Amino acid sequence: MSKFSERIDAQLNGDEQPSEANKKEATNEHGAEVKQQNALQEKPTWYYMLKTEGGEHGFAYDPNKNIIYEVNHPHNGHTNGGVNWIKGLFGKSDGVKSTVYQWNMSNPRQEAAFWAFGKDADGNGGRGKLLLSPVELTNPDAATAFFQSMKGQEYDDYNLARDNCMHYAIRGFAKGGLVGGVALCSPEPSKWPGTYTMSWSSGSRPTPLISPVSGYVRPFPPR
Amino acid sequence: MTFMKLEKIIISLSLLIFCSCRQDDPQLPGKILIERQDGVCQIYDGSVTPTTEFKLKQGPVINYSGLTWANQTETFFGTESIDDGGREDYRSNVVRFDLQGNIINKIFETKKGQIVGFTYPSRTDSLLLFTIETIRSLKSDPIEGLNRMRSILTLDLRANKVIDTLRNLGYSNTFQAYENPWLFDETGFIYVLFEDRERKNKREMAGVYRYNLLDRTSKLIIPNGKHAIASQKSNRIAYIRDKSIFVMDIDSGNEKKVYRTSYNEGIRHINWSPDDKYIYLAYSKNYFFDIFTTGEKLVNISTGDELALEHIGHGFQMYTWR
Repeated sequence: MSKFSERIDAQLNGDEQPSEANKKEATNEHGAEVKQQNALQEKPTWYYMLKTEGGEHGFAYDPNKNIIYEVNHPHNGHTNGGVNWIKGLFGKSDGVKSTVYQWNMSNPRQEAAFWAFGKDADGNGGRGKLLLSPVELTNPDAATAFFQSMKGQEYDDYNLARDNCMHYAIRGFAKGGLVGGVALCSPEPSKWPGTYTMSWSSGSRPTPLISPVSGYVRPFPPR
Repeated sequence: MTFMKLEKIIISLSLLIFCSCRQDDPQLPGKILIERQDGVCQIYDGSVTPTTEFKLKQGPVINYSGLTWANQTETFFGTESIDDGGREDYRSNVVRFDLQGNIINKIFETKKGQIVGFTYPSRTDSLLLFTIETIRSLKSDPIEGLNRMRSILTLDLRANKVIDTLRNLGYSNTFQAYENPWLFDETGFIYVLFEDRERKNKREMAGVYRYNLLDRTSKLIIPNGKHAIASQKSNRIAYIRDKSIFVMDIDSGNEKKVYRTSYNEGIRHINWSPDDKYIYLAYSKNYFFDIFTTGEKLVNISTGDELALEHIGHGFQMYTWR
């Protein structure tokens, strides 16, 4: 076994801490971080991505195509904020629904729109800190097909408690072969069931670990 | 308070704000193009209904986007993106479009991995500023694609030649230039740097910078200023600082506060009106439990008077206005 392979195995087993050189950081206007710890994996990996500032929010990120997938407020976060959540809680379907977004981060206009989502001109709001954790998919094409079939659609099933941003991301990962899922309404993995093998610290500076995502599956509401 | 009562209050609030904009409110001056995510473009020419609609090419390999009005002709500048499959094969060129979204000519062609972002022509269309960034292979950095270092190139459109390069200004979310960045006298442009840790380490201050093309120097002119935009009718700039909108005369350095936000108000976007009389602002009013409402208005630069308007919602979308 090569040293490279040994290192990958050690990391996947949690036996080795990643080196400083292997940590990637960028900062945004809040001094916050886009941070991850590379898994040094040979095959392409997707990421579960978490926003924490101004409310937790989950995304799916395909670094191979450089595309982020998410369900969020309609109109780039500029209208109807929160009203659809409340309506969803009461089982109402009227009003403007949450929208499925697909951000091609190679396109600067879309990239700028992603970072500016819900942000005011004074720099408040927006995406803030993002944390990423690798997700191993056996069939990434199926995940891509699922996400791309949803582009621009209203998300009919949106419900704050049962089917939200995180469920959408994990649903796509499941199509891609991930044996895993989520059960609780928080998008932060540290609050997910203990059977979930991906761990995030629950402190003020959560650190994504390098283990691939897998774990407990909760059935999603039928579409 | 029950959630049912809460919901009624929210709906009433929304109706109140919606009804405060009357049908006889003035219309927006100039021409506005809104570019939607699916590539559909709508041109509003003094009306709240679009006068022209077309769809930009959105193919599996070639995509058009990023339209910005030319100032002297009925054309747009923008980008043609070419996706040959791999992430590092992606590239985008600077092109000129006609009013139906067809390419008239290519202005600047990039190499693989080079991506052109925003394109901004100067007042006389003699100079073109555009941002450029490089995307590297997945192996070098899996998440670099999320946030890349940007540079500004200035192109002499008459000679079709790059005459200036301002390298590595900041990442996608720590550096911004807005329509319009060019100063009226075309001696340079303005851009905004946001605070981040890297900048702090270099003791570089956040704020509005003025780049002088004549001596090729950048100077911080508004510490902690944000969202700076230049008038195309006078040598003035507008910007946001301390939750207020200011207008500054570039020659004298005199500044005037023209708008102060209320306690729960956030400005989403600002723009000079093409007649140079108003600052357009798109804003939100934040309440509780992630509830907010949105609106648009014009603020008279001379008097500070606020004017409601028949709105089209462009300040919340990608748009270009002249």
